[in-house]
Amino acid sequence: MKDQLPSPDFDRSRYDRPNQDWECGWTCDGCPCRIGPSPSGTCRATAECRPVLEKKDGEDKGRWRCTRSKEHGGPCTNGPLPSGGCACPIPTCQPRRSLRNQRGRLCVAVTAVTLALLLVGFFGPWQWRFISAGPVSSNHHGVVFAQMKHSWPGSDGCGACHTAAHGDLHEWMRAAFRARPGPFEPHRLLTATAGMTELDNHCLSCHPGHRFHQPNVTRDHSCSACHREHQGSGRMPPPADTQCLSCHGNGTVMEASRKAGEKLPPAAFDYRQVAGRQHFQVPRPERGYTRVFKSFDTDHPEFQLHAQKLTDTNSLRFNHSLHLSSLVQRNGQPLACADCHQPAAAGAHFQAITFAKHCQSCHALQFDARNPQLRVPHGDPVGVRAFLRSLPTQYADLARRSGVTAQADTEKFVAEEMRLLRERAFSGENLEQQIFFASDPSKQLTVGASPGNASPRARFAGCAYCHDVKPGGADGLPHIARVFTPDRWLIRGEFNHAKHTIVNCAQCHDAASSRRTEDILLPNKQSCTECHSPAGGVSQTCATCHSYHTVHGSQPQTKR
Amino acid sequence: MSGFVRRRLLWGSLLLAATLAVISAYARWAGATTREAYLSGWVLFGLMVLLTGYNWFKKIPYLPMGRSEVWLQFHIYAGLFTGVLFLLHVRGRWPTGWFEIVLTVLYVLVMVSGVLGILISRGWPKRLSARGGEVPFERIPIVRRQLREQAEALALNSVAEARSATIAEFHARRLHAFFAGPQNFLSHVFEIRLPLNALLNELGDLNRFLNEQERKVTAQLVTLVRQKDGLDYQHALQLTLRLWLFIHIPVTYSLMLCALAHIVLVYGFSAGVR
Amino acid sequence: MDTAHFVIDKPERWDSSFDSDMTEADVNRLLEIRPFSEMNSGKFSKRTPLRGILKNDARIRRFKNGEIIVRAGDYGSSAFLVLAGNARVVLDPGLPVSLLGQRKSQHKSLFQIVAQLWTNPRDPEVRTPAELEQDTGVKVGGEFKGVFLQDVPRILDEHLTATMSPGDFFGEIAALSRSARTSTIFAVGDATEMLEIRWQGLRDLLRFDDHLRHHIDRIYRERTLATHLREIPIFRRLNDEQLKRVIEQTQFGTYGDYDWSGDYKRLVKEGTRSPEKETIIAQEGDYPNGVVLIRSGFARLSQKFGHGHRTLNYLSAGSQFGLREIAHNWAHKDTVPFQHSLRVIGYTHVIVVPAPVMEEIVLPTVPRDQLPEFFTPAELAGTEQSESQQKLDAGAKIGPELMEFLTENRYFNGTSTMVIDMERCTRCDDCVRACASANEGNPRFLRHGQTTGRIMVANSCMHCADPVCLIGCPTGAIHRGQTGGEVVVNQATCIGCSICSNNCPYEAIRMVEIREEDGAFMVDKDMKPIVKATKCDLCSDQLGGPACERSCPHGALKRMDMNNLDSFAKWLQR
Repeated sequence: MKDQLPSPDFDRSRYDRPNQDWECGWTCDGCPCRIGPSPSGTCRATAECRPVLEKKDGEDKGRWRCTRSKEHGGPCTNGPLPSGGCACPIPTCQPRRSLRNQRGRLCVAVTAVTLALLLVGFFGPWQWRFISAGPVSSNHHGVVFAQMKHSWPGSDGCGACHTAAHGDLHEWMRAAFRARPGPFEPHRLLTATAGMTELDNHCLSCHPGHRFHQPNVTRDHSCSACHREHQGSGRMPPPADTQCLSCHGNGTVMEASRKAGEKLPPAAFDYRQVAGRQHFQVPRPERGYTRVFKSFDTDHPEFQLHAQKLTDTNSLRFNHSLHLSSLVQRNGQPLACADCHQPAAAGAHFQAITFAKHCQSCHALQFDARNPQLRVPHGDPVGVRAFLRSLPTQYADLARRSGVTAQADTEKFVAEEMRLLRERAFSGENLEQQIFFASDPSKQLTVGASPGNASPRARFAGCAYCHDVKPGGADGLPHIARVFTPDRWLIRGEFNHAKHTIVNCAQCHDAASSRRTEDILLPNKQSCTECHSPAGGVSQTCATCHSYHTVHGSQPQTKR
Repeated sequence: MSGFVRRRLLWGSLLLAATLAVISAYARWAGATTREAYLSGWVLFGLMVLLTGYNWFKKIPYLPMGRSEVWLQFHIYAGLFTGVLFLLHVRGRWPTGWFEIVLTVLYVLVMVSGVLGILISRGWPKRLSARGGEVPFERIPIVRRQLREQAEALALNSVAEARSATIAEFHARRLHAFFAGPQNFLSHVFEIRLPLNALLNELGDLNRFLNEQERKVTAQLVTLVRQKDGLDYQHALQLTLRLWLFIHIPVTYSLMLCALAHIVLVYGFSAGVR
Repeated sequence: MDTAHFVIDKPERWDSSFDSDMTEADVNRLLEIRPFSEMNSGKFSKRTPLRGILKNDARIRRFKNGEIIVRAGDYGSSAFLVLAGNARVVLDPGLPVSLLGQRKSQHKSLFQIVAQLWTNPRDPEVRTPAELEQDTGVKVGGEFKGVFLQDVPRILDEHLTATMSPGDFFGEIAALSRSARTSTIFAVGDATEMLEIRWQGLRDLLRFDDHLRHHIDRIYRERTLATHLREIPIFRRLNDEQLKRVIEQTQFGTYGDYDWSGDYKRLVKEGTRSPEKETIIAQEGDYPNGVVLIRSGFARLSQKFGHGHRTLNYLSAGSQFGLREIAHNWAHKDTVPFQHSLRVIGYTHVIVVPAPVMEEIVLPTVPRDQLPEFFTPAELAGTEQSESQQKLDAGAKIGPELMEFLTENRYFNGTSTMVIDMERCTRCDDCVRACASANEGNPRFLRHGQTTGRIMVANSCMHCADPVCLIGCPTGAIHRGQTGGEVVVNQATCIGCSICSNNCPYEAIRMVEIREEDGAFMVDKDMKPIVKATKCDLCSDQLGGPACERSCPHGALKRMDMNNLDSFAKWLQR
């Protein structure tokens, strides 16, 4: 502290007055006058004294005397002017605002500018874009919304949802005071319920109530309780688990829902049909989906498929084990899952398995080993019958295609082939029966390979080899049961295969040991919770799998 | 344990307790679909009104409303607490709407200026008192004028006494501007002594061309230069200690206005449950 | 000789005599009047002859009817001798404060306090007519700018008074012991003539004239000592008989060699002050011959340290010195010498109770557990510190540099000294603004002052224990408040003479030119601006104490009682 600079000398007989709004303009020159500016900031400098007229007895005119006080230097040498004015005028100045007064002015100015900018922002040309809390989510974009936007052109479409946007500031205030709890009831916020609000009415005009979740929802839940709009132009963020659990974790609510569900016809729950999509139908459990639970890994119910030990009702016979075994090879390699289960465009799901795409390359339906080019058409018994009945023509065609041009050679080829066929199948009728109904691989019609293809072809023993073929159809045709291969097995949850490429198929789907069509190869909950649990470290929120509004289940939540 | 440390611990633990309380309450409410954003908003607004009120509290010191020191402590820690509330209120995400971005920017400005302000308010007085040369801010121009006049007189007198204008020339070239007004604001703020040393070196170099008598004058000038530099130091630091409020307070009013508008908008337009 | 006067006289004071108009004829006339006629001028020293004292240290003042000579509560440094006419002493209850030129202490109402928000004038130093309105019962004017009671018959009627006649002395105790005047005395009739003797002169008279000294000793013992001793815990158990014996043998004396208002500022500037030059009251290592009780003024308590002295503390009115040593010696039949030195700072008035009196009369009445702590061998050897020593040693708590700073600048006088911690102070001037808003828009202190290290003592009124500013106010405008003892200036009766401002060694009183409500300077008949003394009034009319302290956002400013260095040390280490 010893090298502190000493405090400079200055006149300490005066007070500092930092509270005054104005200071003498000469202050920055270091010589403020003693009079000082007026409170309104005008210079009041006059002169250093007010001379006083002294008249002695008998004197006519008297004498002006300087009255400058000792503190200010005493009477001046020149003395007052003859007119009685002081000869030492104080130069006038332009008073300056004190620093603090300038700060006050800055505050006022900033407040005024803010007010002006707010007015421009709120009522100017971009008012709606300015006050909007953010872009509307992609869920609320599209043709319908564009139309709605046009129906409220004045408010840039805000009016479609917000009543306040129908009017000016007055309407805003009215809307504000219509809100419950109102602006002056912040104390009610603590106890306020999540019931429907004015805003929700606008949601309801498109989204009819809560029936799109489950018809037995008993609470009127405000949409905004779970959904935040204006959070950016992407998809709406998924609601948090706590929102789901506010009902699903609440025994009373669930019990009420169960009771409500009992009164409804079962058909009321059958609402998840999506055109063009095959869903694996699960029967609604007796109590509906009203079990109380807290989290996925602990008390979420086992998937219904497993809990109710449901089986695949598909009529097609398919043996995953066989197909994955080394007996079946393609290009010298055993088949892999991906040979048939090819991801759909988005990768979340797989392309539907079709005969043409996934079976035909092996199961070519070749009935004549001599002529592997000839194949029974797939798909329709009538077509098969027509094909078989026109076999001579088919052989003739084949001959033509293989380069036989002479009429005699063709006829000879047809007659020869038909003869050989009859030898094997005795008659045309027999051939048709055999093709439709034969299922015994030992009575196979043919084994062969298509020209140019090294891999052996699957044996064609007849339609019944794969299909459920029964006699008794019209015109003596067989009745082939419709193949039902579901596109989606889990209709209440979504599964995105693209997000699970880190695991092998076989880690979840035990296909190698499944010999029967009935086996549903979906993993159970436990294999999910290996990862989807706090221990596994992967998200286990409700929205990871579920969507509340499954009526739009066709939109897989892949963009999240 | 000194009183300041104890006080910091007390207020710090209060802040921590309030933070923990509000975060746990938030975690509980967040699922219960109540209006937690409204709640945090109102608490935030109420706190901000109280914080703004500190400025008005200072205008009525004669009312026995407790010591300003306590209120400042409240102001600081409640100010920090608004940071917690603010983050909860915006749910930790950068806002998407224009107006909300304006609000956030204003809030951040107030917060940052406040934090900087308290940092310099705590740190700089030590610098000022270590340097010394204490002058009330209002008197700085007067002292500066005294120094300037002394320097001018020295330079002028040296001409007649030493019959040489070396010092007077140096004064005209270098010192006149130095004494004319506040100098080297930024170097003082950042504690850089280069300008002073440069000037003193030049004065020292001058000695080669001076006689004994003139050297005495430069010695006096060196003292004056040091005093003036000390005065500039006081000016720079004291001014900055006042100027940070030129951001903090006006922006606060701006923020409060916008916050009011925000409340109207929220109630008028959102009126949802969150 | 039962009264000791250890005095180093400085006749340089005669360079400016009390009244330059005193003529030889006046002196001759005085020498014929009692008590001077009875004094033996041969007993006076050659440096300070009786004539010289009368010529230079006394003045003859004539008072008009109703003129107040001394005021209750005033501090004066002179005594009065009635020469002619008569004066009346107002007995209990005294005159109302407004008649004494003082302002009645009162709080503003809550509404008035809130109303300051808009009623404070925007111009500096505006005085409203109401503020300048004097009590109609008094008038200010005259040669000595005295205060005149207007309705003497009514006052004589309504108040109990006693007559003082020629030859009567008054005000001598207050002058010598620098205590407040106990009663008001005013002149009755226009022919009242008084001899006013300044305290230095009075002191010399006492020194060389036994008769006067005996007279004053007697008065002092009767009126003052008994009550004073009763207030000291260790004497509290004495019965009347014992107390009388103690009083009889008690000595008292005045130390000091200058007025510390005017001279002190000069001496500090010259840098000639040092502890070694201060008069010693009791010396470390000497045999303890009595307990020193400080009655007024201040004394420095120091202890040898290396080759110098280390200031442990300063003692103010009410403190004692040497009791511990004497009690120890009494209890142990030991001879422990004084462990500390006691030096005069400026001016000290002390009472000395001799050691035999203490041992025979006082100490036997004190229960063992109330005696001071005895010395242990280790403490005497200097190897450890006792509790009492630690308690006394404020110098160790606040550090020697600060201790020296406070002593050098006489800041211990303050009971509400404004100290600023410059390492916390952001120079925001909130304190100044708060002060202004509590005082009609006018700050009453300058946020600047002497600095040592991080501590600044601002130029604000410290409300001194020994308020030298009160000495010499001709109208009693500057006075102690009736409730808190704060020193305030009554703007109505202040005549702007600057005596208080010049007296104040701490630059705490500032003269201001006052303005009308329209902002114009008020001028007198001569067109000279009217000035008034202004100073901190400790916000005595506001609620909640000094606004400066409350308004400091950083806790950097504190009004500190410098006689409680413990709390100061605590504040420093906060």
